[in-house]
Amino acid sequence: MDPKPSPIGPLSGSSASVGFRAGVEVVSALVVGVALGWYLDRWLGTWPWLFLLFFVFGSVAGVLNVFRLFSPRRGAGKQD
Amino acid sequence: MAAESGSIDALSQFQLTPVFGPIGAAVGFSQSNAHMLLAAGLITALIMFGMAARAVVPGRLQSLAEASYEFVYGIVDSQVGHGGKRFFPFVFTLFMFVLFGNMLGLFPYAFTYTSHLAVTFGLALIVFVVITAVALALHGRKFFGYFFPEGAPLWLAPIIVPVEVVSYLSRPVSLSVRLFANMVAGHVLLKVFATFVVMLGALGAVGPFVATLPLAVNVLLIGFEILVAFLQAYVFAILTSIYLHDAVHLH
Repeated sequence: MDPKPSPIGPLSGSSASVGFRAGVEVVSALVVGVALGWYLDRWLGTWPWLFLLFFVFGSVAGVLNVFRLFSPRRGAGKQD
Repeated sequence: MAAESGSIDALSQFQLTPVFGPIGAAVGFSQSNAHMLLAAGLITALIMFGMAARAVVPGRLQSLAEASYEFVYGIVDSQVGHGGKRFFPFVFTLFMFVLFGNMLGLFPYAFTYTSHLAVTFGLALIVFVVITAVALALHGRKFFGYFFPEGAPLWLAPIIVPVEVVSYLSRPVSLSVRLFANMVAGHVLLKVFATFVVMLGALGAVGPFVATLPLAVNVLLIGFEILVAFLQAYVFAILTSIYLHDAVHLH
């Protein structure tokens, strides 16, 4: 009944859903980065430096997530 | 009720209310929990009654049970690869629970438990803990090499490692937010257009004719929502398998 899914990685579906997924990846990485920086700042009392640093890390991680979404995965499929 | 007051109340459908009388209220047993129990019961019934016949030529229920089994098995086998079979029960449970949650929510008067971030984040957190535990159990300390790719210059470590850690920690967030946002958006749209039907229908002589437009939109939306309900469960299962692949093979 169901076609066997091809090992194409996380990216499949209509362009709207692909765009939505890319957006979610960026936003979630940013949220995690900002939250991490904020808590580290509160813990170490270094406001706002770690917050700003982890904001950058979160942005880079978001771009990295989107890059991984669009690049073919290493080791995907059945070859191993 | 929303249409009579002249405003669109699209969010009250996500409110939790206790069920089963005073006992349910005392333990905080909401309709969300009731639908989870219903989904778990339906999945168990599908597998148990579906496979009870063990016919060579499957009946309707048996072919449904077999199709769902083979579908998830295909995902796990193709994505996790070597050594992925032992994770099949885990992924199958997640897939069926999310799928039944999404699908049950499309019935009138039903509640969509996957439309609550607490539920989807709980599921995503289970996935996150499992993949981290699997990676640590299989690779021990080598797991931490995952955050620093081989061959990269060492002076880049202060940049690469935090970025990779944030990227890794963002997995449960993106996994849960994707499912939650899709479900909420779909149900809000359905509710908004359903309210339009009632509001336009009260417009006097032309009302019923104009009201067929949002009604037609809702008919289309329901079909689309069934697709989204399946697709999101599929995405949840496939991403879990991809994360498991990373945990097993560490690359």
